[in-house]
Amino acid sequence: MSERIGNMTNKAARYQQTNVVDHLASQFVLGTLTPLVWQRVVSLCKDNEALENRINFWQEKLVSIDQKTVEVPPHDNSWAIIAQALKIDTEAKHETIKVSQLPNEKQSLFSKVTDWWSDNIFSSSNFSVPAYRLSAAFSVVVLVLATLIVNPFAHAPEQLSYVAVLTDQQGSAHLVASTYGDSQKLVVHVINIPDIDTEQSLELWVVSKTDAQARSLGVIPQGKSLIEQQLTQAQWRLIKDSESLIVTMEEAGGSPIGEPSEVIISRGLCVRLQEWDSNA
Amino acid sequence: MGTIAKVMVVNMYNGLKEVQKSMDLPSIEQLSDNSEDELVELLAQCKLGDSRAFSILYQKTAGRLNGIAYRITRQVESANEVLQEAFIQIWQNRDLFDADKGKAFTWLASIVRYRAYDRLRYDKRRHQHDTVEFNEFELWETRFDEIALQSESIGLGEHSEQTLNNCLSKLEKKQSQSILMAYMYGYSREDISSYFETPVNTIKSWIRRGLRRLQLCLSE
Repeated sequence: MSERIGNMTNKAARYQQTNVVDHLASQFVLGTLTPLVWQRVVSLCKDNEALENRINFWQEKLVSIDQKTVEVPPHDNSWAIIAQALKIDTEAKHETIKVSQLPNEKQSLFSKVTDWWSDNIFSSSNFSVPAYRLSAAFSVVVLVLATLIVNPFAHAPEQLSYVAVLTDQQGSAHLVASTYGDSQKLVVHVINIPDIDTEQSLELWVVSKTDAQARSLGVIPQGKSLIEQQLTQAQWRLIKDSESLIVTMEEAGGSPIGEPSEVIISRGLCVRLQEWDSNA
Repeated sequence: MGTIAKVMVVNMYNGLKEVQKSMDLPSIEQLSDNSEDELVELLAQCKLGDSRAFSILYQKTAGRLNGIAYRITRQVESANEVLQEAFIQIWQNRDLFDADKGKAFTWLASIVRYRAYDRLRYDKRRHQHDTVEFNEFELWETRFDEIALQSESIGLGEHSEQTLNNCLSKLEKKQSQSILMAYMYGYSREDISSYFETPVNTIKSWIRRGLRRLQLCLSE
């Protein structure tokens, strides 16, 4: 018994050592501890002020990375789920509005940007889109584009060549399609495509700049948010000659006739990234 | 190219820059002070059981926190679930927030971040199908402001960012990359090891040494 108590005391003393505290705290904040050790640190923090302080130090020092992270508006029902889980005042629930709609005297730069976007991009068109929808679509597109351009984590070390943001007529982004240099790979980030029944498929087409013909790049699989596809040489040539991409509603499995139906779900023009960079 | 899409995309990019330059925004310090005060006040009200304050806290921060969750999970659905779980935890643990020990946004963001890491572990995804390119971190060092054009609405202020930026730039490249891979995107040491094709123990060593040097630099 006394040996056991001695071991526990030794362990407790070990967690007071500066180097151990520093190591645990920094790795805790970085998220690199195993779940078991992570839980142990959580538990130790209750009685170990040095450890707690050191964790706070790292959190405060690194949080500017989080401050720099692009906003993504949550789902409309997220607050309802939270309020229901906590059984909190339903009156508060009814007051919930989108972040971008807040009558905030200190309107965020993001909101102002989306306002600018709304004023400058859509004011001269026939689009009539609620501000929150624009904000949501815009922010997700910005995030995906930023991810593609700035954070090409998800892709091989190749040059991003073309990108197209496909939107519906109301300007809501459905997906972002991009292609990558030498690997000739097509990557599609699905943002928000409409639900379809099992007897239908959504098919992605590339429309040629030269002859304005649409040629299939394949059916978009249901339920996936990231789709990668190796393009054939022929498809790659189509991409290089592309004017736009479209998504159409087809029979399950894709168009039986090799041509797109008239039900165009979304459309986006291809932008070559070098051109974008040089114009930016 | 002369197409509408190109105009849209270029306008979007230029517009962001234009808006940044031209808007009469309060200074970063002023804004962050006010915002921090506001969040502290809301959390104080939450401690008293004020669910309306909690609702406002959600409205004020959900977009930013969801962005953090999305950055790590890279799945819209997962990010939203992380956000929901995090807010439930925030309410349940509201008494644990201590403004003397840390900033309100840091506390909120940390809860979200840890839950997002958990989610990654739970899903056993951890970006295992991804291949990776890390020139981002060079960009991070040199083009920090351009990376998140619209993100200066709330922050610890330029000083904190520059300090972190400077300190990271003093590390060996692989050290800073490993640290950012873990923090920003929830990569495990094994994932980082795979990327660098280097033994996990070496990665641990890079991270450990990098953090030690970072701590010294940040404490100066």
